[in-house]
Amino acid sequence: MSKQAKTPMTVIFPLQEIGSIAKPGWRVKGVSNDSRISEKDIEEAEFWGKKLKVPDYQKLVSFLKERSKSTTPPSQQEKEMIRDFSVVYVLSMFEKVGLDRVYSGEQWRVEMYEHLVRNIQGFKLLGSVHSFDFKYFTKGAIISPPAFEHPIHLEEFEFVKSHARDEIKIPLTGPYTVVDWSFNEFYETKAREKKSSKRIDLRKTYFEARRNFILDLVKSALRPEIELLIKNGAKWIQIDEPAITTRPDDEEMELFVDAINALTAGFNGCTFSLHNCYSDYKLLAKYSVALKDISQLALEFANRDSTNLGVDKKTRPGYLDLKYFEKEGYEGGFGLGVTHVHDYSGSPGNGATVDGRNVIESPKLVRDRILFAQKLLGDPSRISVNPDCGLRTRNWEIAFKKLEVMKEGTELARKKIA
Amino acid sequence: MLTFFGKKTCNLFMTYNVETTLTGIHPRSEDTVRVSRDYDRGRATRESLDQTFEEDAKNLVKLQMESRFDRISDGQLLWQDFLRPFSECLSGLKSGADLSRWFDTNSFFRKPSVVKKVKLPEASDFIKNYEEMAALSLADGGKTKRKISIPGPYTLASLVDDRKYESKQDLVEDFAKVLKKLLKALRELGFQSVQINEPSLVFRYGVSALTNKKELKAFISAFNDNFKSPPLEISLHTYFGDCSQILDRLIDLEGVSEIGVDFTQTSLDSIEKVRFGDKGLACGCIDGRNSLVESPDWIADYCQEAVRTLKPAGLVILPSSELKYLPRNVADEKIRSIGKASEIVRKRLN
Repeated sequence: MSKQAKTPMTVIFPLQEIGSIAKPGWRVKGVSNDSRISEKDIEEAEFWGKKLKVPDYQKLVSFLKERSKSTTPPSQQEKEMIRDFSVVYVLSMFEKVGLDRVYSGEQWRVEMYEHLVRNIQGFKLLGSVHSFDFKYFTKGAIISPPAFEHPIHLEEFEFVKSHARDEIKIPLTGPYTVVDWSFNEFYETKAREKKSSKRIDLRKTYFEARRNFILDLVKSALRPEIELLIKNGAKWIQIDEPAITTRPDDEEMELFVDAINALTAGFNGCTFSLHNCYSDYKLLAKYSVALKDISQLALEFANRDSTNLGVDKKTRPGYLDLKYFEKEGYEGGFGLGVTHVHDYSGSPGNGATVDGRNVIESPKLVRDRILFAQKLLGDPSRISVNPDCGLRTRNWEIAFKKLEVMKEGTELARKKIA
Repeated sequence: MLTFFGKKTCNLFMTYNVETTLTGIHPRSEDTVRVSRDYDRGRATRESLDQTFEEDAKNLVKLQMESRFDRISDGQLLWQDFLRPFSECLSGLKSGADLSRWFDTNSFFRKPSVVKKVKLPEASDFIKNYEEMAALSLADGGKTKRKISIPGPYTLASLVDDRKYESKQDLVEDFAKVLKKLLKALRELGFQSVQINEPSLVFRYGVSALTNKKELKAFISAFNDNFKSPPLEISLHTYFGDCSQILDRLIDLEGVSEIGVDFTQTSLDSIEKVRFGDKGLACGCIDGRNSLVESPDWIADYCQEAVRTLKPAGLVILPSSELKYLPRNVADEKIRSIGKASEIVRKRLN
């Protein structure tokens, strides 16, 4: 029996969101002290409010109209109202499409890394670091031992819980990624102080410091947060670990496994899944069996697949990576990435079209991807369906289109299986 | 003191040559980050973006001059990734859409595909872009060298998606030919120093020349064939991995002035028996991926110990890798620290 059977979900190929959704213009400007709400922002709020049947959306629209005329910064209460509406908009989008597991599209959060480290004692944000093209992220440093200071995601969770109809899955940025994306000033300084030689072996010294950092982070900051979420009713936590396999050797992968097992050990009544993308799945597969409490691996596959229709090896190269996990004896579930989330500039095959910088998969392509995966894995209950990663890189129109296609394609696959 | 000197500089009346430089792409300033983000989201014009980049590069050049750097770079701030100028201008290469991770960092590049024989067109965009950047030419009376970092033939061949060549060795050879032509063009544009970065030679994860003797041989042969008599000073830098297994082979390369070592990955103990002979050492002891700013004294101590041990013909002090993995203010602090360290090292070694 697969571990995923723990979940109460009975529907075949359940649909789930997997990360953040782009913040609308009114959400960004509405909480900014410097920006003014534009006509376009108001139209956007009105359009989506109506389309998604967002409760009380007219209240938001009226408020935005007032704000667009104002020259004073919004109050804290007004900022919170804007934020809350953005969560309700995203929930409405997910529920309108018909997803089975939902969350806030991370509208509550600045960003997956920054939001977390801003709320853990011991971190200091240092500035922007280049990711690719004109994309950047804010990177922090650990400057004193990490410690739980106050609840990080509880308020967001409570809000989502009171507004969502469907099952809730809370994303939590994982310890390996937090450590990999942070500068390790505190532990490296300590490690260097111990070794006064002019011939210091920096690599060995820094690895030791990395291990100390990750285990302290788990124990002193992340476990207390999980404990609190579970105590307040969390049933599913998705640990986001995009950084794993970045340093593809045994030493690092063992560190990752130790950290995840330390993070999830001993919690009852909560399902843990792990999200990773744009990664080396052969290596991840090798260690997947050592992850004691992880019930589902939610992974990106569409990015590495062709856009032609078909359920054979030749047309579905991206999904062949599932075989690595089978070979290693992994028995858990998969969150199967079936839609691409980044810019696309190639020529699409017969299963997709291109709209500007976006590839739009057809429902039949999504169907074929699911059916091929099911053919490889055998048991359909091991498969949940999601985009490759968060859709925040796409505008709402494209994100909604992609989610709808995902739903329609999944329906086709369900019919085929039935 | 004499024992520190290599063959070329072993002369009582010569001073031991110590220079400073950057390793590659420098981080963009917070201002440039903001404007480029706005541009990407349709909230800023191309004109304002260009102005911001130019201002940023000017400030960086100024900082290097103030820190008495010897080889000055414009920071290559416009480079979206280290391969992009090549994928956009070489014939035979097609710009990639998919993102690939840049080694074991948290930055990404668009992987180009090789679709036909790679060549550098006569009037390529690459050169044109650098003519535009010539606005930054340095009015310092020739005390400093104008420098650029480019990926080496092995790294280029390792990172592209090759759909044309039958062997990687042939691709390495052709990329070396392209770079040979590029070096000539760079010389004509006023560059005096080129650093060829070869992280793939030593990358500690995955396939590298460390584990493939055939490929190492192909690289050495392509390098010697094409860079034997370079039109300008060439430095070869290895990083993101431990070079101890192949360092002696690199020291034998022809036409290259220095070999660069990433000391965050290679321990000095592991290469203590290597002698640099007439080659200089590019001492990458300043961690390009770490926000802790090394003190001038720490850098000076490390460099002095490296020179004492390896006896290179000269010393270049530089970050282990490009500094683009750091926020700009931290990277700029590292420049200042390198500048101060070089003064200490010069005094100590002379």
